[in-house]
Amino acid sequence: MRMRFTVAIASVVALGSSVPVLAHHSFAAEFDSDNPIDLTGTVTKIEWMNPHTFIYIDVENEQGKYENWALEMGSPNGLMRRGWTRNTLKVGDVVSVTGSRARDGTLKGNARAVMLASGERLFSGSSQPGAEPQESN
Amino acid sequence: MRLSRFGFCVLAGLAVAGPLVAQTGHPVKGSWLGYWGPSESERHRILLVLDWENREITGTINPGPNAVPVDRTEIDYSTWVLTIEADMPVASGGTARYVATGKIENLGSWVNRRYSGTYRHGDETGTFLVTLN
Repeated sequence: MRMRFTVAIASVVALGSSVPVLAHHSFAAEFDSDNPIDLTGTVTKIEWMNPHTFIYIDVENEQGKYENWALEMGSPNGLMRRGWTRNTLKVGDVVSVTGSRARDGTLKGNARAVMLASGERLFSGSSQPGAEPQESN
Repeated sequence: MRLSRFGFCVLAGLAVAGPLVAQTGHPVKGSWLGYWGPSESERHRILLVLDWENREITGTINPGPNAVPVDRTEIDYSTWVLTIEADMPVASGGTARYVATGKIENLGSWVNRRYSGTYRHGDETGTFLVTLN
């Protein structure tokens, strides 16, 4: 009885802590390096979280409609090692993002580099093999 | 000192629930994205960033180079009807008072929380719908 109780508690704790781990994945499983994206739009949301930071940008398509893209970047720690700070991007900034589109065709991508409105270009800690610079862990 | 089974469960529950609690905030806080306009054929994109500071709702319409600060808000917590006001630019130059009143719905949802209603901008009236980004 005591053993079953301990196992049950351990399972609950393990499940609770495994949710962020599930969000971590290989690049090739989710993104297609043969389907590059080059987007320019207005930042609508920034999520600094592990294991990946996300920025959302509003991009006007050829039909004049707006599409809200979710762009995955490296971890907050990895970005800071590449020169990012929490004030580098603000909601409302216009940025250009290069990277790779999600395999499922949704408005999601993996950002390789972000060009800020100031003209500064920052690497975004992409998990894509060959993207520079590589994050060392 | 032995920790009782009940005490252990409470601690384990708090440990798991702690990060969840940390994610919550005032229901209007966040980036809201959508459209507003006088008719279905004339809609304009709008990004509304709302915050909760010093027990008041504050915000900005279309943050960036053309940002317009929200200078007055009023919310009825019994109905979740929110009114926001700002001085918005008009096409002919200058600004006109922008008053939008709408209801916040799906409060418990992180993916489908919406704020919709009607607005008046100077002489123009119309509808708006934004969803939490």
